[in-house]
Amino acid sequence: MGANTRTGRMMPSYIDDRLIATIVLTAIAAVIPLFVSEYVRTLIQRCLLWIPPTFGVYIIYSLLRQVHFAQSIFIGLGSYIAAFLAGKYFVTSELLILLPLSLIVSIGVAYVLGIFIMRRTGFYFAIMGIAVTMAFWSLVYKMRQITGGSDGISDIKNPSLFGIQLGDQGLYYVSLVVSLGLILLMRRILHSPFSLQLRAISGDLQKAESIGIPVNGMRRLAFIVAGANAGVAGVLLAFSYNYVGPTTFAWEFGAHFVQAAIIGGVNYFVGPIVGAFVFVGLEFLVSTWFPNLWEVVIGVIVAVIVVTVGEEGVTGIVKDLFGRTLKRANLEERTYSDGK
Amino acid sequence: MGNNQQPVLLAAEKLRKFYGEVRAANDISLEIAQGQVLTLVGANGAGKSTFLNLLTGLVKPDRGEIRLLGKRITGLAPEQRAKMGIVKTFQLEHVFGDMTVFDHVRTACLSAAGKHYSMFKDISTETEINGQTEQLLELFDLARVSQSLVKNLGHGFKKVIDIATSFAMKPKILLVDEPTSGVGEEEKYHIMELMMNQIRANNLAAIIVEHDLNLVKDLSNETIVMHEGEFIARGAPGDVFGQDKVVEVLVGRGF
Amino acid sequence: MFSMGLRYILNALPVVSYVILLSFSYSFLLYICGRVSLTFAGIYLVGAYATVSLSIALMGNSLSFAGFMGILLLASLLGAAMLVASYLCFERFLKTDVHRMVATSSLLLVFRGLVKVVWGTTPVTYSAPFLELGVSEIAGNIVPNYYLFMLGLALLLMLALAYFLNRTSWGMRFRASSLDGDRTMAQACGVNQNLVTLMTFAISGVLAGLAGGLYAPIAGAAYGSEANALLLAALSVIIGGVGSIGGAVLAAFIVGIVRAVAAIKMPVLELAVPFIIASVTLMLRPFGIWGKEFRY
Repeated sequence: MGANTRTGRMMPSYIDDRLIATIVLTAIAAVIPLFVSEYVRTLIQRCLLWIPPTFGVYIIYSLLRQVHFAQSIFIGLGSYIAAFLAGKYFVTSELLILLPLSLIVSIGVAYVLGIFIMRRTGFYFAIMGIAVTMAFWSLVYKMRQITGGSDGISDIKNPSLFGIQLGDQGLYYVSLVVSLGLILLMRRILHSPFSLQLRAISGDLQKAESIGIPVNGMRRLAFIVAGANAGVAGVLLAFSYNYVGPTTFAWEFGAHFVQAAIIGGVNYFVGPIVGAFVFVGLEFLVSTWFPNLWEVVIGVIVAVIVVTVGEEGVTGIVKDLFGRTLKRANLEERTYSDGK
Repeated sequence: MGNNQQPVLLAAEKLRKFYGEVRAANDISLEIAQGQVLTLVGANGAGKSTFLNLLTGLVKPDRGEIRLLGKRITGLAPEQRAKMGIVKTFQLEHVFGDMTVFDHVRTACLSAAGKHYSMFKDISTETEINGQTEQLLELFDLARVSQSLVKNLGHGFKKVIDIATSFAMKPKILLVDEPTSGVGEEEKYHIMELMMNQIRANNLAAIIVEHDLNLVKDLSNETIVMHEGEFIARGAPGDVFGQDKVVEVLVGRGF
Repeated sequence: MFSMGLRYILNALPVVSYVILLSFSYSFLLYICGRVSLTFAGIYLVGAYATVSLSIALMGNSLSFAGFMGILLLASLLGAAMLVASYLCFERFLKTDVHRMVATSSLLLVFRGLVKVVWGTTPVTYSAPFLELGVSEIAGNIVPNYYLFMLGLALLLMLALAYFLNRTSWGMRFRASSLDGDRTMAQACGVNQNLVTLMTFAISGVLAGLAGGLYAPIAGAAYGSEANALLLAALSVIIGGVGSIGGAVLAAFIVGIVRAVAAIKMPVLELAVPFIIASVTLMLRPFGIWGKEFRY
């Protein structure tokens, strides 16, 4: 038995196939804007930007077994930071300032909120999460002079990077790089001592306490990690939508990320990525033909997924369908074997 | 009585915990030294588990003091006490079912090393921790199942995993709540032997709650009988179990 | 000063009344069946729309009070039917709390979406009961009679439920199956668990539908108001404690009144205030003001 054994559900190993798949997918994502229309590119960009917040939900769900409805707060914070600094009170549109600023603000807010809403788990956490989003929503909605109230802030110019003004295509590549970077970071975090101990907390609270795991502190840190992801994505989402309004803080917006994570499948590391693409794609497809029905369709899909496959999601269904093929190609065995 | 020459490791002073009318702990005092192994017997509801939980901090006392090496620890949280060396194993199944046995023990090793918040380090590069984990698995005869999921293993295995995980915390004193409840006769002795070997090898103090009185005689030369939240007898198992009041208390459960 | 305070309280009465009903709808399911379900907010929304639409269709802009009561009854029964149907077709397949929260929040979004499809996003109003019931004067303050009617009905229902739970043999069966009792033991004693669960869902649905219907003449039926309802009701349960009727009433008064004061004094904090109260409650009394310690 090698010293660096790392088998387990959520701990895939660095395998060549996966590396190859990652490189191929990234390459596709990198060249695709050259071939598709502007509209499709924006859509893919949104999918990419949905990945980090969905990963936040995924971390809380898969490691702590809690439902995180409050991602919209951090998206909202990031978006309004971008909208204020690069739009309304034009100060700077430099991403090297906006992104770290949003990161710091998200971490700070998550730290403070974590004290209140991570105290209890289960429905307490879920409800408190929803309550916080609503509190922020009403705050932004009513501070009309500053935030523009329900009109929100539109006309946000494209950002610049290293002082160079970015075009729409440039923004796409920035989104790709940020999202990819965050995915790799999440992967590292999921292989860390930190996440193993988080799994202990959700596995058995009393046992975790009895082996000296600081339960509250670690939960709060997980909440901060989730929020930081969303905060960074929020800045770029504001530029992508070219509009920020109080609905960014609405509880249903936070719930959408939970839905995306569930659709993708929280048992798999690729779940949030699949989920983000499927969710945004579905939203686009359904609302093209039936503008009012997309929430209903996605809601029903999520409900059916929860009842039928639970945490497996679309990824699990696809894996089951093509599992046999993969096995014949002898990929399946390696997926769960040792890295070494 | 016991190892009086050793300095006191853990001292409980007049611990009291009432649940309404029920007296789970009624002014109990106890001192235990390094290397001292005590067994605790008593009928169901005598307050044995409550006493252990008071020591670990899972239950807060109504009044009384707990000291570890002379330092007052009464107000500390369970995880802080675990760090200081008071570690408990559980009576019922308290394991991380979704982990492999290796990860289960490794979690405790990481915790003992204080690496809770290390987020950006790959766990496979923690060679020292992984080495410790493997060593522990060897000691407790778990190496052959190290890659199985804990939830798929039998009850006896889970008990051993629980105990091995507790040892990963490098305890000073081990509180063992019925290590063999629900385990078959043969496995029972195996588990006890594994555990006692490690307790003796590390010269640990231990308080073991056990129902099987024959086993109690083998475990230690000092036993305490508990009844309605009080210690009613203390001494060598042979002497204690002969006393009338002890028979009266224990006879209810078919002694 | 006193009269100011009284005015705030009187103005908060409608919110207090509907939060009493709605929060107990949520906490009743949690307490008796141990099931978390956010569907109740969707039922609330449908109840509001159904009441307004039916009233306009049947009575136009005139008012027959008996007719309105009949429509409220219909809305409650609709709520019960919907929640029971949602349980039978869907919620009974959910095995863990996490699944329940995810799935029922999605279901809430489905209800919301359907309301949007059927009624659109413009609020519809039917305020005849509110306007035509007249006003009373309490210590110099003018109070619409409808406010008093709402509060009276809510309190009466709570009293009836308390009587049912504590004094009747059926109520004992409910309590035996609850978080306080022992489900398996109750089953062994011949309490039909399926029936108890179904009835719990039905009662919960009645309360949610009625809450929507009662509040509709004042606030109108508005797409988006379910979020407010969800927030206030669920936070009241956290504040008051799970399964406690007294706690539900007390928490509804606290939340309703403080929110009403905040809406006038510090409008930006209107929805932050209930959250702050809930946070403080969790710190001081983790299981709510009136709650007992459950496994949650």
